[in-house]
Amino acid sequence: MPALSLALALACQEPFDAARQDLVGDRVVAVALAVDAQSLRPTPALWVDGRGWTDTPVDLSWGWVDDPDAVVDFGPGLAVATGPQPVIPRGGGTLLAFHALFPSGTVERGYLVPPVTAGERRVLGPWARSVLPVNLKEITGDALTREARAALTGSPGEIAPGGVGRLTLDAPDATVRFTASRGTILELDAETADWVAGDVLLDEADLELAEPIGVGWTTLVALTVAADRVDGWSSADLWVGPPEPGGWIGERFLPGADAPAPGRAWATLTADDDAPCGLRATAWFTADPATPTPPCMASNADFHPDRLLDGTCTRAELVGATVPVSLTAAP
Amino acid sequence: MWLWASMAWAAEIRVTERGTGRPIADATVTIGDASYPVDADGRATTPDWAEVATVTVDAPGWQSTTVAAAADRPVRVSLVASARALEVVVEGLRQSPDATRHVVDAEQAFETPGALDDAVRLVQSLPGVAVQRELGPSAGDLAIRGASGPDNRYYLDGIQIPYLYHYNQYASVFPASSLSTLALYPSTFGSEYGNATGGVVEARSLHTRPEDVEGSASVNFVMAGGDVRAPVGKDGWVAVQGRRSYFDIAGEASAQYPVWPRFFDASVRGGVGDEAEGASFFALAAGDAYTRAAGELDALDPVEALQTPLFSFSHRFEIAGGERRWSGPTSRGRLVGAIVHYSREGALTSNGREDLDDLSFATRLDAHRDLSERWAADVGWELRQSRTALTVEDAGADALLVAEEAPALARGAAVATSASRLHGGLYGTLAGQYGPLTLLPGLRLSADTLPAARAWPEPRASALVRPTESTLLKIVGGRYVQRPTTEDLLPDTGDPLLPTTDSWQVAGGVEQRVAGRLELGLDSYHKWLWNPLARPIDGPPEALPTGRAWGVEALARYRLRDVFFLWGWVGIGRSLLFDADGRARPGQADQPVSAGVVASWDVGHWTLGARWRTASGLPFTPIDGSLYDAGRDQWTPIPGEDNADRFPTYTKVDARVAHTWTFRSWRLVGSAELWFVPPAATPLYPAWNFDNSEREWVRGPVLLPLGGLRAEF
Repeated sequence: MPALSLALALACQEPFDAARQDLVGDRVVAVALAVDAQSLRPTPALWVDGRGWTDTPVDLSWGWVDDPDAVVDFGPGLAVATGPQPVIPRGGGTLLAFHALFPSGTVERGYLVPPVTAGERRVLGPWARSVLPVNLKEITGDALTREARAALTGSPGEIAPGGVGRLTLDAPDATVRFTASRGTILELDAETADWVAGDVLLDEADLELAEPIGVGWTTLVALTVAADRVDGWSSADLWVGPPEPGGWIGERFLPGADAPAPGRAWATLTADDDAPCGLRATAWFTADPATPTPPCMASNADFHPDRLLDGTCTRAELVGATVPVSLTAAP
Repeated sequence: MWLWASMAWAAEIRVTERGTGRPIADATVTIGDASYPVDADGRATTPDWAEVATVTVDAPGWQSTTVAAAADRPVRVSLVASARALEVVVEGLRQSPDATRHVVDAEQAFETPGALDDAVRLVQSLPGVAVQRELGPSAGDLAIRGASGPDNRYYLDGIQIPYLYHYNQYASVFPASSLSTLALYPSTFGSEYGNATGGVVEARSLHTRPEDVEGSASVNFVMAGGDVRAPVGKDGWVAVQGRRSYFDIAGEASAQYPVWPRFFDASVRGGVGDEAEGASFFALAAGDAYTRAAGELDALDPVEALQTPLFSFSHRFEIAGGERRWSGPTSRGRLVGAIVHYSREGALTSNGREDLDDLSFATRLDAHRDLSERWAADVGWELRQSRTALTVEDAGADALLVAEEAPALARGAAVATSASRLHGGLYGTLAGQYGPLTLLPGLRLSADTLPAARAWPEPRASALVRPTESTLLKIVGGRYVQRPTTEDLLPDTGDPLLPTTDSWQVAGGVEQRVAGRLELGLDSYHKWLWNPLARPIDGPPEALPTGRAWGVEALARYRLRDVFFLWGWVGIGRSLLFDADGRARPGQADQPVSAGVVASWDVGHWTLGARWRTASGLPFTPIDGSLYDAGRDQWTPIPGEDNADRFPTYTKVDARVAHTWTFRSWRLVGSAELWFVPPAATPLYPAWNFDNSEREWVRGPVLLPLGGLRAEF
């Protein structure tokens, strides 16, 4: 409902608990599609119980309907495919509907209009990261308006509590939408957003809330919307304050002491609820220890934290396993 | 008292009314033992006197005034009116075929707290009219006895006007200073009105010749304007009025409203004769325009807010016509004809535009004739020939953001269509007096040519019984038929096959006058409806099988003109719509309980007023979750059951104090108001978060001070 009141200054509203940019609760964050002439393959990004991983899988059902109204009644009984990334034959309707049953019992339904032209999911990255010369403890709301932030230039460094980082994903002809598990996203343009290490509430230029968050990890998921189609998504971890020991796997972090230098390695995984992907490396190997590959991982494939985010693996399937990883330099 | 130089051998004395400067023609000037009457211009010429004389001026109804006047100078004496005999205003006990009729006038409009000098807003304080949330999206909707806006009809001097309120209902399209009376017929009205299953609001403008040039200028927190009325020749008069909002002129703008809403109304009237006998012409225009961001900027991220298109909206109407009134020993009547033009434009900067244009010729005849001592007849017609053209340039998904203002654009299809239409009715009502019993059988024959010619008989009848001079019992019933609007019947954007809404209505009640001053009334009503229209926001209207509305209203009223008025009411009622399975859902105007008290008291130069209203919250359709459109990363709300949720109970108190400064030829009224809404009643409308999983209320203020100035001459 548009705010039609002439006396706009006289109306007020309590802020919502969750904004679009907040990764909270149970949520299908994005669904990217790989498309060919005969079939489609969706790749969802799933946020479960406030985390990018889960010990219990999300039950996903996929099927065809002809209009959005029919999606309301779509469920497992009408599915033509199940699972996080099935290959779904074309036909049967104009919309691809999905039904996601989370371990908590929450159900989310949605749909996509499959594109006609074939194409793979857009590969995004690397994330360009920098730190802006502002901190919540020292600024007013004027400094956080889009115009003021556009005049700032980022530089390498670590983000302090209350600090602001700048994130850019190169995505020609698309709009990047950023989401984060902590802090506040303030968009700058179609490819860039500033992430505030704090909870911020801006009413035009008035800073109504400015609470720095503490030291720790934040996971971000960004998706690209191009020509009415989400054609890719990517995730990244940010550290507020000095980083703890561990290894980088692209934009994601696997904590664990004594991580080897960038290159191929193997890590034995244990559960850690405070880690970005719910797992921590308890041992590193630079040579293949020849341990069995978890069934959820394809043979000879390297482990990546996104395998928990896209539902390929549950954390329970990986705890205790020793998996190959491709360690990279810190972003 | 002003004194200035004059002729040497005669003194001129002029007698006028204090505060207006109008001459007092029946005054007498006394100097010593000699008395001199004044002429029609309030002037008396007396023999000169030496140095200073004592001059006494008397006039019936005016306070005697004595001044010391110097010789050889014209003297001007301003008189103040005496305390008048208290005029008790009895608005009920009127013989008419209408079950219930409420009348308000300019005094009540100017002095009722919260009415903001607006007679139409005052209607919202009458029984049977739903109490709306101030500053909310429906703040000015006249929902009458369960019937919402499109089911009611609004007339100005017999001509139906396209809309009643300016932007967001802050002011009606005609000021109280131009009105003689405004009458509300909440339901079961007589056969002189038709094409409505709801209520009728009929405003009558002033048709009296002023004695002298008079007028006013006013400013409040929304609009500024003025009016002038002047006599012309021996019998004629002319009146000019204009008002405009000023926030946009003052430079007000915001990101949400880059062009702040601006609205105006203006009129020119003139004529000869008076309310009963005469002829007049009129021309009036009203318009609203603004430009807003199509999306709700508070709900968008900074980049989305930059990308959201702008929506420019305007609508306006112009009316020009004339009226002839006649009155004789056994007959009276009026004949009105007017050209009415209405236009509406909405355009998105991204893509899409809607233009609606409607040109009509409307005519109305109301004639009364006494047939015998016992019988009288009222006959007449109401006819309207119109041509409506609609063009829509195809818009994308953005059009849904502006569905309320540009409904055709929101349908999403490019359209260029038009329709001609003749509709109206012929009516006749007989009135037969048999002692205390009055019977008023009537018949209206309504017809419409869109989509095909067809007619509907609407029999109606009333019976009034007056067992005593102070008591009136009444019962009224009949058929009331309503055709869809031309826009609703257009192909592509509407549905040419929309059925006619049919209803049978009955109402009854009793009115009692106590001690000649206090009026008490008790009314009840019941409506049965077939094919009532429901209006979803994202599609054309649809007809539901049936509906019902019923209620009881109690009213108490007391008034001493120019001194004190008070009325209070309690209403209980329901308005329900039934689907094909017989399941009931509340109608848009379903308000089970409403009550209020309005009082205003003139004490010397002060006016004190208060108004209290409370009512059940109106229903609305909640959102029951959403679907994730994963292709566009958006959430499509899933509407819950129609009108399954309700606003909280609404209560509002308005207090007003005004002071009148009276000068020699003009007066100034300054007013201050304070409104109070308890915190629990402040919700204006619901807002949902991005995925419709959370709902919060947008709330209005608890306390709000307002003020205004009005100068009259």
